[in-house]
Amino acid sequence: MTPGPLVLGVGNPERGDDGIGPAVAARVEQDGRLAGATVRSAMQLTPELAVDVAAASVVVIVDARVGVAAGAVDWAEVEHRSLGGGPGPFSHHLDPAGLCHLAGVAFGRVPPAFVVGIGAAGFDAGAPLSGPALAAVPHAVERVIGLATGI
Amino acid sequence: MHGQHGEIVIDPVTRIEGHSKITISLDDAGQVAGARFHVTQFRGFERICVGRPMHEMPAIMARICGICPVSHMVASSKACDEIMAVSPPPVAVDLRRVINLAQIVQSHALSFFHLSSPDLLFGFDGEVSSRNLFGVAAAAPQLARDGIALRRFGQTVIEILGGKRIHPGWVVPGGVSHPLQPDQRDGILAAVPEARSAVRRGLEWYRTRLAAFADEAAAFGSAPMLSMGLVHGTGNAAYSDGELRVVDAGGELLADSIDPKPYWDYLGEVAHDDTYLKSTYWKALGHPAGTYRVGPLARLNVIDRLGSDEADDRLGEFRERVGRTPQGSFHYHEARLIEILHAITMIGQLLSQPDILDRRVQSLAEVNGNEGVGVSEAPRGTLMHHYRVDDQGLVTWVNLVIATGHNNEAMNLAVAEAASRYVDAGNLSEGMLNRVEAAIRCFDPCLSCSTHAMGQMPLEVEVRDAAGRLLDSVARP
Repeated sequence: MTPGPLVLGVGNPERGDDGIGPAVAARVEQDGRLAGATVRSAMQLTPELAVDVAAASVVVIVDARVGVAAGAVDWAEVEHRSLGGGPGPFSHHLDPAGLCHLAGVAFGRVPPAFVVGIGAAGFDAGAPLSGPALAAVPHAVERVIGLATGI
Repeated sequence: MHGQHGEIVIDPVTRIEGHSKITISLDDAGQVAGARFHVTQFRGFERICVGRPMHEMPAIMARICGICPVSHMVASSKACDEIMAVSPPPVAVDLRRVINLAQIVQSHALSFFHLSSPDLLFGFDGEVSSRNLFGVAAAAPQLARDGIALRRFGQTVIEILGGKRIHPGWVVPGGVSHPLQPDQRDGILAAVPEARSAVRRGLEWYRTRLAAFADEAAAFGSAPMLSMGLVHGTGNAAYSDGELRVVDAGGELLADSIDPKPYWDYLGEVAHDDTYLKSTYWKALGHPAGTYRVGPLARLNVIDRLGSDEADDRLGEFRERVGRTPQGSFHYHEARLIEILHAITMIGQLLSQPDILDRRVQSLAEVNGNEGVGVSEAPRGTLMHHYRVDDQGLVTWVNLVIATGHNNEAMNLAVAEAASRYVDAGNLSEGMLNRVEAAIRCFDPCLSCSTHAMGQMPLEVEVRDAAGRLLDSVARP
């Protein structure tokens, strides 16, 4: 089977803007422009996702960001660094570089991978997405589709 | 990092589920005099549930843990079944069994492959930076792939049945919320053969490594004690139901076929000043003589057989090699793998039943009683949820007896034994302390912080003399 793009929305929808990753992923899934794509949402990047990463043509991880303006959308390519220090004591969740690294060492394949970050206003339990985060969803969706299709 | 007079403190303990520390006490001669396992987190779930509607309890209780939420949902729903005075439809009982077995697969896979296999692959004195899943993947990629595949299998079953991998809401009072669909069943069944192959490879690999750890197998918590677990009337293993059986270290039956619900009749509980985790004991023998284990090793000790052919063959080989009721806690690792094989097989068998797609999956009722107890086997051992409600179904009182509490005294004995055997306070090394932590990891304690872990947790250990002067230190990145 020809590998397709993988879109991973990361975050907890019950914690305010931490849910922006899954919200964007849901919109990408409904969009229809990413034919053959696998779209998933996850609270954390767990080692099991390395299977999906290794099988994808390109990976786009969507996550909330702190330290930038609420609603700001940016992106960066994931560097597949060598992780000499390991994933730390809680090896059942990883950062994007760690997930890609694991896909490489365990499954022998690492596709190009990107992280799309959306500036978060808050992470209060039970809070909905903030206004700035909601307003950023269309822009983030376009960025995800652009990265996944190489446009 | 701590160090008081005559103490070595391992804080936090790593590669377990939660926040804890170990204190190793030294005598005046600087030799290890004892060790204690302390749970340093407090969640308060028994209090925050008071006032909530009974029907919300399974979903609330699932939030106790991000690793074993299903186990809490099953025990919680069973307690609510009793309050509603209903029995779930037979197919709902089987579907609860399936999701509970899937929980056991994914949790055991995490414990063995992600958390403990690094020590078994590289050795307890191996390079610290390699003793993690990345190191395993680089040195033994098939082992890492199998661990990932098994955890993924369990999580996928949970996601298919419950709608999501963590905190699914499918197990409810009276049964489950919706029936299984044919494509869901077929998707799970299609994945069973490869999952069985993965755990077979894990078992074979583990046995190739055993000879290298004969010393640790003998010294990691080998104190003789009781074993407790749920068993079907047939003598087969039970995970979501069954009756309680307790055997002593020699395999003699102390209790059999007893209703697990009135736990206050047979279990005593003690609190310690140095930990938030209470300890339980078998009341008939008192404390500490009534100290017991629960979980994979204890379950294999109490059952006659698992109830699936290939897993029972593996159990027979296991018993032939280590005895009928092995006491070495190191054997929890192999017990976990054997249980994974059994659980995958049973998932296949249960989902192959012709009535598994039956549409009647929930018995509906309101409050018909004011008290309920639900008991099941979680990955780490016997789990008890006990609720009282008022006539409107609002919770007035909650008591939870969790597997790690059952094992608390056993874990304290294990760290003391490992510390006495391996720790040389005058010449401290990371490998010594790793062995003490590994004694705890055998039990795979779940301290319920997996949904709340923040950042990386370094391990630093200091050894101080009676005057508080720093003698030695070890730091782990």
